[in-house]
Amino acid sequence: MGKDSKVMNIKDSKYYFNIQDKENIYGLLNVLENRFYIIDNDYELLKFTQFLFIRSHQWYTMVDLSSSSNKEEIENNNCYLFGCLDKDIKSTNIDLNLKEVNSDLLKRNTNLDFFNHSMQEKLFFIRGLIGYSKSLIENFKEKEDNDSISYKKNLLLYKRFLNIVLPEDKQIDSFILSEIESLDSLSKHMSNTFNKIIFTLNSIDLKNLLIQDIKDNFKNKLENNFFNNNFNFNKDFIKLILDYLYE
Amino acid sequence: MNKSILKDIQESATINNHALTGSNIKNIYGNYWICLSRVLIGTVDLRARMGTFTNPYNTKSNSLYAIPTLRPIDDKLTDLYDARAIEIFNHAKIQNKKICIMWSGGIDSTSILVSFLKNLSPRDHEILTVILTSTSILENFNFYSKFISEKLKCLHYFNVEMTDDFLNKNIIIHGDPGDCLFGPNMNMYRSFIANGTHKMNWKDNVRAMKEELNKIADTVMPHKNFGDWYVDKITDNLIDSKQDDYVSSISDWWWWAYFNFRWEFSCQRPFFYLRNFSSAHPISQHNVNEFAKNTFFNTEKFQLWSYSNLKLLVDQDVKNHKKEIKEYIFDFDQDEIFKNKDKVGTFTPISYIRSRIITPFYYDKNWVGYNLDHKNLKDIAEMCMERYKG
Repeated sequence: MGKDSKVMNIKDSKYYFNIQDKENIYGLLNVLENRFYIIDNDYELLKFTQFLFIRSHQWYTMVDLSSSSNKEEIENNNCYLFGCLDKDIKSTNIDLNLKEVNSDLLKRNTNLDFFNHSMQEKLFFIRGLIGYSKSLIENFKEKEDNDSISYKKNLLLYKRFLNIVLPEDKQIDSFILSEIESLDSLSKHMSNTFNKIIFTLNSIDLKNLLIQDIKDNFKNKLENNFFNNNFNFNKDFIKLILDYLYE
Repeated sequence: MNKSILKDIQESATINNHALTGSNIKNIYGNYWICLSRVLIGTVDLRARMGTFTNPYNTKSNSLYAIPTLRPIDDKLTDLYDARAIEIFNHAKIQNKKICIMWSGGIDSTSILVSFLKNLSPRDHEILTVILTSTSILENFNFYSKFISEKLKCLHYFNVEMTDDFLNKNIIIHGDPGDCLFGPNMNMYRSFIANGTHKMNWKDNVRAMKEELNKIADTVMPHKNFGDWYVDKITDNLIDSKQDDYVSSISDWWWWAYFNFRWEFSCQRPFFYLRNFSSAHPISQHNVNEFAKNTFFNTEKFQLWSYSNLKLLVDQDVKNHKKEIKEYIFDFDQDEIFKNKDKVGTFTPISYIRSRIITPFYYDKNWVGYNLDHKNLKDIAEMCMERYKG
């Protein structure tokens, strides 16, 4: 798909994904077309995707479909066939407040003259990229937290021991604190990396650039000015993200 | 090949060969070079201060760390320590600088700290700051509790960044290259130590030395005869330097491999580890020179003492290793436990924290660091490895 998009179904895109359950379903609705472009179980990822496109003045309304009576019918490969009931549409607009936007689904005709396949694929691509980044960071962070936990535990015990045997020493607490802060610094940096991903994507015109251009733009920012320290993690993280982008 | 980058590497302060681990090099000699830091633990950069020795980048040794004209002297080690501490103290006073002593708790850095505590009056201790970590206290609790805790100013190692600003205000003192002076890591010739044959003439045992090192290297690059290559290179240099008769035993041979080749890097180790967050900013030539001048052991006398006392460094009884320095410390602290302690390796929070950081591939002559992903540096480094003729 992408630049030479002729494919009518998002299912053929490599960025396509199936939702996992029908309990917690959210969708991004193009209000003017009254069609869903993407549905997801992950509220946070979909919300960030919505915000990132707003920057380019591409507005989607976030709709909670979890309580819809006919939610079983919708999937990502057919979401373009669904919209919201007219009474709900009137109150939605571009509201960012999820509570006010929930609706039963309205099955629409199959006329797709105005449906923007390229934009839909971009939504899937961006959602995929931030989802992959998030899970990658969580995996790195879990390993780092596991690796450093015993050091932290022992440092705290060591501090307790030194406080007992050298009760007059006023510096030991700050020594140990410096080391615990240094141990924690990578984990904090990893947590902040997701914020940097969002910040970086927000600086790119997602609406008007082609997916390939978005990738190149993002790659450039990632390699040149993404990190200002030299944790080994940065190198590994960038490599995996680039592998994902250009696989 | 980018000539300006290559020239910069050739004039560099140090090269972190460890950064090339994992590179796909076809040339066996390039692979030997890359494996140096994994086989010979602690080796980062290897430069010959004396005699010929080819390396992949054609880097030269820095005259600030030159080897003196080698000759025997009669000076006592304790006198050298005392005189050096006073010399540095006087220099610090003139320059209006503080003296920051990096104290790991080990023998070398403790001996240096002792030299200052012994030779400075208590009121002059104000000029001293001890740079340490919690592991330093673990390494030598008695010394910390008796002489440092609540007596000397302390600064955590993580709060030190080797910048011009820091060096304008402080003289940094550290225990390297103690191993080059007092006898190297005996792990490299451990079977000779175990058999008590390490004082035999190396010329009669070249084959056995190669096989010993091949065995160690096989854990990194199996069946590639790394030991043959390395022993030949050091031996050729020893002969070329006309020291092959004086440097006579197997333990002496290993002393030479440290003393001539690792001195320069060891002296500059604080720059290597303490520029993680400032390596984009250069160190002035004045501070580079001052650092070399104030490196505690980087004097003609200390080096000549080491050269003159080869027989003592690693004795027939290896328990005597660093015996004179331990006695120097003991005379001051009266700590029998530390005097008789065995050397053990530790993997501490500091080692772990450091292992998560990328160290630049090379530091230029003003200690500006460049990672391998800078421009086409990786390609240039790999090209050097492919062209290296051993």
